[in-house]
Amino acid sequence: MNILFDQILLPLFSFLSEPWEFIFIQKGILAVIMVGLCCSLIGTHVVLRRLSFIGDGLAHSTFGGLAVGFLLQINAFVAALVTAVLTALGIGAVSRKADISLDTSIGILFSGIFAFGIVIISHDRNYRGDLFDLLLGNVLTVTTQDLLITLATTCVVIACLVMFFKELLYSSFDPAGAAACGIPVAWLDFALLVLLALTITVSMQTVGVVLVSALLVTPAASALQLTNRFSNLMILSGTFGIASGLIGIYLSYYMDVPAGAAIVLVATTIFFICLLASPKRRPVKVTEPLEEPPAQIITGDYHRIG
Amino acid sequence: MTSSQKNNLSIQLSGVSAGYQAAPVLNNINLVIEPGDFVGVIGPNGCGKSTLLKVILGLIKPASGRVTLGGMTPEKMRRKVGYLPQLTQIDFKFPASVWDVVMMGRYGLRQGFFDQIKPINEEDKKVTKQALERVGLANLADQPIGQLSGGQRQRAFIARAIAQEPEVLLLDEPITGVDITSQHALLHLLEELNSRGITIISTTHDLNCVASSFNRVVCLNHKLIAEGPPNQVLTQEILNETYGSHLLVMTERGPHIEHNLSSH
Repeated sequence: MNILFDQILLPLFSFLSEPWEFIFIQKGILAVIMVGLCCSLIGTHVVLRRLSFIGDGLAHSTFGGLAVGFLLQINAFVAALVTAVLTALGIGAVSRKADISLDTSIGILFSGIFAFGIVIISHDRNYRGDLFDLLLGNVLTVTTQDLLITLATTCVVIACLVMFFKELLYSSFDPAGAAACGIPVAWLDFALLVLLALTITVSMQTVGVVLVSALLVTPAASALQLTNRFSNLMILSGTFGIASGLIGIYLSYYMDVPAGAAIVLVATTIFFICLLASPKRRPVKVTEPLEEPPAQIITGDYHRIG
Repeated sequence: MTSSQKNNLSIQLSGVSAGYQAAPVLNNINLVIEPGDFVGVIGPNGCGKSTLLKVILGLIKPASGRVTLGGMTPEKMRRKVGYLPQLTQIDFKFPASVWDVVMMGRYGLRQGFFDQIKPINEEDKKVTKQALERVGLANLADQPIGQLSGGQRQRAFIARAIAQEPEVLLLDEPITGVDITSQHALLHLLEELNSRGITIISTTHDLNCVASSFNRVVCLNHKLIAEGPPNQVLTQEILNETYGSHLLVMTERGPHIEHNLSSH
């Protein structure tokens, strides 16, 4: 018993607890838990509504917003959030006005705003050092204020996703049917984009522009391999999101690699494990026929016209 | 449940046009649909059949004219109207069981924010179960929606519309793409719902089922060509005008060859 304790449990405990001795890593761990949860929960709708590219686009334009915020000396979070929301609205408007597909519109806007951000930031010598952090994220620079903003955002996002679970589910599955029975589909679409913009903005610090879209899409896509129920999808996706964050930050600590990249690599690994383990890919076991008894055939003078 | 209570919701379209000025999808439609009617809407592809349903649902605002349901605007009456959209637009890989899909019919009934955020209650479950039983899918409730056959999917979506406890049921191509056995089962189901007092308006390509099951036919080709009981409306002339071509109309005695030839 003592051997078990000394040889396995104690080292495991110190392995897990060692990073917690540093305040900045504590903050980092809390940040990745919240970001992982937030991204992976809203990610279920992103995946089911095929919004992956919009998530990517918003993340890149958020970077432009941060740059503008820096230039105008206003709060970076607010600037990034406003830019993301404006971009989300602009994508639809440009697509309608120019009569181009949504994909093309996203491609034009996000790369334009992103490039604009790079031009501004690279012009300023003081800021250039942080460019790498913004693109790839740096969990170790999370401040207490950042943590509070992330906590507030996570609470808002989860509260909205839970409160409007039914309505979001219906409009993600069948927008026309949802609108027909009186669910405010256009309003929900807009609300989802704003929540997405919020999520992406707070996630930038931790995982960076380039990798945030992976955290939006990968946990949800992994969960989709394992379940056919939407409620399970959210639970699994959230679990994978948190797991990716936690495992990723430990990897980052012990192997000295950027946390954002480690987190995304863990998420990707989970995806491939789910893909291989998916019951959906297993050959169907024949138990009982799916068909119900044959429908009653109505006979009569059917084919009379005129 | 809707049971046998008769509804008294009449649908009125007066001078309804929709789409663009240059090429309206619907052009000056005047139509009254009485409570309890069983209406088939026929016409060629792109003639405005789906648009007509969407105008009644309030999903498309008419460019001119007025739509009323029981004297009210469509937006106010949405909860009384069940809708079966064309299922070609649905992603059947979506992670939802048959039960989940039918339960969605209950979601639109909530009114106001605080009602909206309440979880599913016992009444919702009871009505969902009844709706599934009525369409004969109770034993498949836990199956993923994507594993159902075409006809079963249509029935699941009809169950969703019934779960809303509607007075009017609008169906967009309910029997398209399902096998003939399922077609009969679906028509039988619609007849049964209609006999319980639900007004049914359905678009279809199948003139045979219109002739046999429906008590009113609306012939549409952007404008209203004709409407009335099937035996008065499904004539050679009206169908030719509706479809813009010559159709061979069969009766019990055989094709109207002479009639068809003589009209050339």
